[in-house]
Amino acid sequence: MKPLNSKYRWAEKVFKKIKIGKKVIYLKFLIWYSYFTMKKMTKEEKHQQCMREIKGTLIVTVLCFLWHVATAFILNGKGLYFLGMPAWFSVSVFGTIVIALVGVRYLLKHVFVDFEYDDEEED
Amino acid sequence: MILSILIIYLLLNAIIGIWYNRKKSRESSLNIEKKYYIGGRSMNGLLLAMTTMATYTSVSSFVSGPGAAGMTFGYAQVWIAAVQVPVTFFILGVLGNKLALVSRRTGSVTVAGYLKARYKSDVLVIVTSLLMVAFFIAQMISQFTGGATLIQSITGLDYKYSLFIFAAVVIIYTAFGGFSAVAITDAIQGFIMCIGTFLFLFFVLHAGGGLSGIDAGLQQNLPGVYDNLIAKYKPGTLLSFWILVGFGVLGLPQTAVRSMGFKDTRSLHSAMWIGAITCSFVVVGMHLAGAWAGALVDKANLPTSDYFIPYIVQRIMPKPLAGLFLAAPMAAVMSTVDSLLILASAAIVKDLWRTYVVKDDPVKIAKYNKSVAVISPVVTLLFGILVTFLTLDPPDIIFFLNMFAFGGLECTFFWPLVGGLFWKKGTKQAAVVSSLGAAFTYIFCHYNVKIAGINAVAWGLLVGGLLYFIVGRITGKKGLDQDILDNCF
Repeated sequence: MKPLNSKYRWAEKVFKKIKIGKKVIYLKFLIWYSYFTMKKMTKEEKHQQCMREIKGTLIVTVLCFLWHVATAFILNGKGLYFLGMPAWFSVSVFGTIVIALVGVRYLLKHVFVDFEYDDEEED
Repeated sequence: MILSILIIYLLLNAIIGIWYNRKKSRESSLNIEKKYYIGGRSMNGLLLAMTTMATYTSVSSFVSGPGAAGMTFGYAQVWIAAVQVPVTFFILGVLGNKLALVSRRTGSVTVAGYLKARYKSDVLVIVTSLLMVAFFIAQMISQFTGGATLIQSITGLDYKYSLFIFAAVVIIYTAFGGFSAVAITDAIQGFIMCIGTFLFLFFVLHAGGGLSGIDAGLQQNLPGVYDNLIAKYKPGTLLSFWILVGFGVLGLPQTAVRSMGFKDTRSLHSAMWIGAITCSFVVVGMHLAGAWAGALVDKANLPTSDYFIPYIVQRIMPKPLAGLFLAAPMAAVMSTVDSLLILASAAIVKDLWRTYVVKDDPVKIAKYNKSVAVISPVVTLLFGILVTFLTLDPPDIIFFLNMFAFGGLECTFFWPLVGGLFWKKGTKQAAVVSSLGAAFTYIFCHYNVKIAGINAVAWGLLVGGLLYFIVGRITGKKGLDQDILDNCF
């Protein structure tokens, strides 16, 4: 067994305090689980992962930008209504919000991963 | 009555802020500097999302912007506000992990600290720190003025006393609570802002008689404007908002520094999600309600659109709820000012004093380490007091600085910060030239270049980017020092 990373030292302290039979084992399992699912990466892998995440975030933001600008300028002056407001406004703005929320969900599920930061020396 | 509630609210903020800081600093094993200026890097997702959102949204998101939407610009103003929907997750997604990694490796607690580690350029650190402090003073003065005017208009208290009460609370909890206090009070204020937005939306819809009633009212009050995107704005102006408050926000040091203060990747991820929701709701919701409120009054005899929102709120909301709503813009002001204050103090103490006066002399370092626990709060306190007195009678240069503060910060920091993340040829020469070049271009174009209504910040960032990549290509042939590569890539 490897020693716990400093981030999980608080958990050890907690375990020392609450010793109520099976609860401890259960909690301990949870902490170890979260410890092992954290990805171990080399410095280079971390940099590559950051770049992937930056690209993903940029793509979602650019999609928001394109939808927001394109729909507004195309629909402006057409006299259409959507949700009780002028369509150029409501389609553009609410569409942008939907794209942003769906985009972030997608990013967090498929692009961003959990990994360990290097531990700061304690001074 | 309202005044006493307000004072209790303010004091509550101060007490919670200072208490939370005590609690946090007992838990953290990092040194005092890191505890005070970055909260020991312990923010969770909720705190990170709220503090980023609350720092970014200021008095203009609650008073000036929605007021302009209701009085003059209609839905077009709301459309512009919607540019800010991605802001929180954009900043955190692009800068978050990278700044978290580098700041841990190098022990930096400010954006200038990151720039020092990335470029090792004294000129860059000194110039950006000084520019930042100057712009922050101007921004703080305008926020203080906004906050004091609000208290004055709600309670009828004298302007001077309003300012003193308000400023005293913000300065005290920031000075004695440090970054942890700023973060926790920002979170509280973020919630207040969400509640305020919800209340305002509800009561405007109620008073306007639903969307159809509002549409009829707008047709009467803002004919030809409310339903036309380009009635008052040129297309070029509209598009350049995507530079000014969209992509350019990566260059704002007060939001970027938040990426150095959170705990782990999980906090970052949940902050992106929470931030996307709350930022969209508050910014779009407030402006939308402001535009709808334009249907409620035919001829408001108000001096400027800044008075529109307080006026409407007092007309359509029951008294106690109106008081609660008006806490929201106050929260927006406080959460912006405290962040500027703590960062200005960090720039003075850590980036300038520690790096260039104390230097490497071991005797001085020992002395500094001993006294930093006292010096940091004292500098924060004195700086806050100085700004408060400047607010009473601002010198002329403040108006000049304030006009350029937002775009100026973006131009100064954008390319050194963003380019430095991924480009291994980004040298210190490139960073210095692009930072200064962008700032000068911005101010020059503001007065001299007027093409299709495009905001000058677009030209500033364009020239800055060109300079960064051209100078980097010329000077970056040898490659960067090994320790820069180790720490930053």
